Parts: sequence; C-alpha cells; structure tokens
Amino acid sequence: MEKIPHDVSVGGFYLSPILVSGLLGVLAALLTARLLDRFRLSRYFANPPVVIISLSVIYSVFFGVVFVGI
Amino acid sequence: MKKYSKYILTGGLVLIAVLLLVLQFWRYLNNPWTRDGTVQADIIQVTPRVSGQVVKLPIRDNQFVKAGELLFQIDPRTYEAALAEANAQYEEAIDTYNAQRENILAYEARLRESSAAIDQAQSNINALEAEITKARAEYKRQQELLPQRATSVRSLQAAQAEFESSVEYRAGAEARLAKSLASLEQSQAELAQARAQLGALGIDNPGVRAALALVRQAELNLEYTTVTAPVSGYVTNLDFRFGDQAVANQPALSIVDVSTYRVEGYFRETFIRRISPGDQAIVTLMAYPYRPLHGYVESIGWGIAQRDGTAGNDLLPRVDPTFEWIRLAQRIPVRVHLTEIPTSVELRVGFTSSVLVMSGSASAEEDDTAQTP
Repeated sequence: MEKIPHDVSVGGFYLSPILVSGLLGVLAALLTARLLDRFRLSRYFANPPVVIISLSVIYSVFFGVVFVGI
Repeated sequence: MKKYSKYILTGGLVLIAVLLLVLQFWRYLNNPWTRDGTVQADIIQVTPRVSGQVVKLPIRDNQFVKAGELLFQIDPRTYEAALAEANAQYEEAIDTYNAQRENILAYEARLRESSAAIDQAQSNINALEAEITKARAEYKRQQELLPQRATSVRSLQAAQAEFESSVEYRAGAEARLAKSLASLEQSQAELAQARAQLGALGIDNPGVRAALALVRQAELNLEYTTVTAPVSGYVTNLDFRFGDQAVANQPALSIVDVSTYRVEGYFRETFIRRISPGDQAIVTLMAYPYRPLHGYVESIGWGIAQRDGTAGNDLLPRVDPTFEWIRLAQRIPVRVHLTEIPTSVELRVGFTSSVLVMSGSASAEEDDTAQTP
C-alpha cells in the first residue's frame, strides 16, 4: 500500500516528506557503508563513494514510497 | 571475469538508483502534490433587514443550526404598531373609495335630473308654442272682427296681450332650456372628473392598491423581526448579545454552511496543465494526518490577484523589480470536492491540508463507468 504524501511533523516543525525520506536514505546508506567496510565487502565494488550515493537514492525512494509517502 | 565483476556490481547499483530516480520523478510529475491547501466553506453573513433591539437570542456560539431555525428576534412591537397603522390606512382608503363611488352615483343622478329638466323645458316650449298659435289665431280673429264691430277694442287688446305674453313665456322657457343644457354639460364634466379621481374600479383602484401595498410592507417588516438561519451550519464567532441593537443591513453574525465544505489546494502553475476537473484527489489534513480524505477536482481557478500593474503615483503602473535568477511559480487555487467525510473528522474552515491529485484519473474513471453495464 502506497503512502499518501503528507507533512511530517517533527517537534512542531512540519517537514517536507522528500526531505525526511532523503535524510533517512542517506543515514541508511552511511550505515550500510559502515557495515560493508566492517565485513570487508567494499572490495567487491569499484567505486565506494558512487555506491554510497546510489544506495542513498535507492534507500530514499524506498523509505519515501513505503514509510513516509512522497 | 573477477576483474570485471566489481564494475558490474557497481554499475548495477547505479543503474537501479537512476531508474528509481526517474520513476519517482515521473510519478511526482503525474501526481501533483501541494502542501499549501486550506479547508474552505461558504460563510453566510446573517443580516437583519429591520432595526431594533434583540429580545430573544436562543443560539449559543459555535452551535449547529438547521436552515429555518430561529437565530434571534428583534422587538416586534413597533412593527406591529406600524402594521396596525397600515391596516387602518387601508380601511380608510376603502372608505374613501366607497365615498367616491357614492359621489359618482350622485353625479349620475344629477345628470339624469338635468336630462329630465331639459325634457321638461322642451315640452314646456312645445306647450307654449301651442299657446302662442292659439293666442295668435285669437288675436287675428279679434283684429278681423273689430271693423265689423263684432268685438270690442278691449277684447282685441286682451287677445294681443295674451299673444305677446305667451311669446314672452316661450322666450323664458327657451332660456330655461339653455340653462338646463348648460347644467347637463356641467354635470357630465363633474361626473367625468369624479370618475377620473376614483380611477379604476374594484381591486384595481390605485388608492386601494397603494394602501394594500403599505399593509404588505408592514407585514413583511414585522416578519423580518424574526431572523432565521438561511442555511444549515455552525454559528461562528457570535459577537452579538441579548439586548443589542440590531441594525438593518449590517451583518450580525456568520454561519458556516456545512454543505459547502471544500478544500482549496494552491498548486504551482507548472503543474496546472496536468490537473483537470474530475481528477481524483487525496487530501491530508494537518489535524488528522492519518486519515486521508478522498475527493475529486471540482474546478480550477481562473485568476489570482497580482500586484504588478496596479496604478501607483500619477496613475502609472507599479511594477516591482524582480531578481532574474530565482523565480517563484505562481500558485493557482484548485477546488477539491470531498466525496466522503468520515464522522470522526470534523472539518473547520482554515484547516491546513496537503492535496494530492492523480493526473488523468478523470478520463480513466469515465472509461471505467463506460465499461460497467
């Protein structure tokens, strides 16, 4: 079920859902990168920074569509 | 192979990311969404039509009222008195009308009397004519008889006097006839005048109609002292007290018409071409973030006020300088009609809402309805 876009209230600040899902996506991508480094999986990727950016986009869209609603 | 697997994995991730981004952007373009929306409804300003002190105010602030329910009552006594006066004037007008009709009857009788007087004068003249003929014959006979000594000079003089006096009598009778004719004409003129003054007969009589209209006006004014709700809705911000003076044609309180609740979404002009009336819309109120409301686009505004171009000093157009690089898209109001409002959601005018419009859903729905038998 797709979420309907609506403002996300964080302590009285009404944030745009794109901003929230983008922040969540970047955090998740950074976390994933830490884990990839930790388990030495980064060596399977040619360019880790590009991977982090791509992961950020993928996570953002995923969170946006499934949880936040964008 | 292992050498390239690194690049394939990385390239795959980048490809997925780009695809998702494009897909999401496409969705965003096709489902215009705005955070700038408000709940609106028609506000009816209830305005008394007559002035007076408020003697009854059964409503309370923020209360629901049904159409036709009493809102407040203005002191009716002065208007009752005015109605009584108008009624009296109406009766007086009817009396005047009747008197004028009687007057006409009197004039008609006078007219007949004049006609009779004329007839009488005419017959009088005829009788005198016969008298004259007789007197003339007698005078002539006496004149013929005198040389034969068959009559006396005295008789001749008497016959002459008789003849002359009857001629005089006839002149008098003719004068009376002329007088009667003049009196007939006068009576006719008076009758015409009285008829003109009376005007049309019966209910069409202008005097009676004017008096009746005054009665109706007084009745309406009395009716206006009872102010009822024109629509069903909520009394809002009631700043009106028992004992206040209600002033005619000045709004006393406002009612939010519940049947006209709608959401105005202010969409950027860049998205307007993707929105058409009938498109499905989903509204999320800030007050009820987890209760999306469904509706459809009812209409799209045709204009917004603008500051540039208004007359300034010396009636020259006032144009604000703008910064070339950053432009803000204008926003156009899109009116969304809510198809279903859950009972747990209470709409209030001014609520902030976000509005999502599904572009092209109007025609899709039409197709659906066309297919279903």
